[in-house]
Amino acid sequence: MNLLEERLTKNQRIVLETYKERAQWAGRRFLSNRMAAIALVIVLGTLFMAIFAPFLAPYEPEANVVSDQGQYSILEPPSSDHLMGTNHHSQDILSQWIYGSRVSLLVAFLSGLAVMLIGTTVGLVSGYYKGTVDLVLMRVVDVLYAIPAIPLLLVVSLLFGSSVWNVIIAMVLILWRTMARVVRSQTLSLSERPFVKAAKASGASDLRIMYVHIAPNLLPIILIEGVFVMGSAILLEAGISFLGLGTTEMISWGVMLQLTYTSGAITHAWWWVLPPGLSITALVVAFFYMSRGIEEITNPELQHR
Amino acid sequence: MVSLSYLGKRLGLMVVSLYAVITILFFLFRILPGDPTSRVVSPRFSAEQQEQLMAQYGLDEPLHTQYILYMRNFAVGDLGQSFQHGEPVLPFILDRTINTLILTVPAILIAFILGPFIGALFAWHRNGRLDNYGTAIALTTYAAPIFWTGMIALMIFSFTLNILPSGGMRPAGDVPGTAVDRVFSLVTWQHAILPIVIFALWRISRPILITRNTMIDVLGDDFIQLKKAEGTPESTIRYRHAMRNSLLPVVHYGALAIGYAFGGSVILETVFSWPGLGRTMWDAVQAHDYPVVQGAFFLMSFMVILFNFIADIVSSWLDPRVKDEGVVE
Repeated sequence: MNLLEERLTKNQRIVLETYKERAQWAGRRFLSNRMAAIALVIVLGTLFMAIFAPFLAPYEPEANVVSDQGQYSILEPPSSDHLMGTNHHSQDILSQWIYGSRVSLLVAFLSGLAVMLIGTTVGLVSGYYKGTVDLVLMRVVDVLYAIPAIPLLLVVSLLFGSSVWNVIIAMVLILWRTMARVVRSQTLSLSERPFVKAAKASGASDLRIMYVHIAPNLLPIILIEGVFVMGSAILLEAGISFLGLGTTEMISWGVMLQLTYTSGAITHAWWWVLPPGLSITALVVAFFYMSRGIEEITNPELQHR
Repeated sequence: MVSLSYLGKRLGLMVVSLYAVITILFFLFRILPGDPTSRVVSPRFSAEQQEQLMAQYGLDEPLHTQYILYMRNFAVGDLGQSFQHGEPVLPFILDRTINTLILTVPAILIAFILGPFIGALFAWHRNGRLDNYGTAIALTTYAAPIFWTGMIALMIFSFTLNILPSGGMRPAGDVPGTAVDRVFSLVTWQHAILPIVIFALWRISRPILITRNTMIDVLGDDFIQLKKAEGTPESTIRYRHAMRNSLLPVVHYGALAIGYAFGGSVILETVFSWPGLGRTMWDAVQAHDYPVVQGAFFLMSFMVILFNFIADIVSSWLDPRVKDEGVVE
């Protein structure tokens, strides 16, 4: 018991305990789903790799490695010195691959969080106030559905330059659309429920009702969609980086694949082509399965599917 | 039957979306940083040509006049002139769009014809081994970056086995023919095999998963139990009764997929050096050919809007209960 908890009233303590129990129950349910558990391990493993990259990478990712014989190791297949071989600039692929995880996770988490924030806010406002506000916001969402993602990223990089930040901003600008729709439709039905009317009658402000009373009930669907968006964001970043218009300041898995392609190494350098693609695929599938895992906790009917 | 008021509402939404997209493009290409004239008129054009274009697009006029002119030009299909070869943008990108259709139409047909059968099979054996592994594989084909699967396909079939061309639409040095020549050429289709298969593989996960999930619901319905009790053969129940009743969302998503395929073609066509709309846009970005980038973006966006509209109308025609749901992605 910490200081804060001691100050709580008895009622508040009971509520807190209930939340704790519910969270523990949800955690157990999530981990009992084998696919979701594996997915969590993949994401945490990648996170570990990204954080401790400087300690894990055997070489500097940008260093041109010289062999004992004093020659550059250009396009060498895997060996004990280079577990994933080397690329056309005699850089160690394993080291680049380890560092590359940073961009994918950065893009995933930042875009995911921003989408959750923007999408939830728009959805809450739209569903709670209804009327003209709702109409206008939902037409904006409709228009966003008309904008194809990769072409938008191309235009943004052409007009504003290519950087990981521009990629994230451009993605977030359109990806919040689904979140807004999902949150809105749930808010519409929740705001008719007695507890919201009670809060209103006791004089709670609109902001408080939206964020304190309604939003917590939407947490599961926000997470389901948010985690799914994280997977999609990784794919989009990889795609735009492959086109040579994405992250320029850091080596990413997409950039690695772009280099295999433009350097002509795809004719034979399988050791360079396989690792980045496999890790992108695994990480994206992991995010999708985590999203499904959360969905199955909240909707037990799905488990029998 | 599609109700007239629904049709009108959807048409209205389509017009609003188009208007909004053009306005966004105006802001991006005319108002935002840099010299707007450099976005419309290539510095490489002759002085005379530059002046003529400046007048034609009203670049010396105030912004609101430019905006009206911009709208009018879009309305009559004048999307400017390419910096790279000085030709009008629209006929040029429409010609490239035909090449894109050579890839996307067969790929989407394959995905949306095979997908439902596979999904029906998974639903029938739900939670069995086939379903669990199959669903995982379907999700994986969606999560695998299309440029990566494309590169692996090239590595295997072009560079190692040497049985398929390594990109492009025709051997180097061949002169591109008319659109009709291109479509009815064996060489074209030989070059198209890999990109079509890779695109179909990427697209097939959605129809599989949608059919599977809808069909699981349908399988719980009374009429299926009745058919079983009547002694109808299993395969007849599975495909004729259950699958057919699960197809509505697949048809809806199929129409959407055609619309999104144009934007998705950028990466596919870049990997396979296919001279379609997507590759053209990428080339134009590299060459800072602003009018072509803008035109290609508009066309891709237009396709999304158009097929969203078609998807909604077809759905509401097939099932009048579908109404006011908006677009579901």
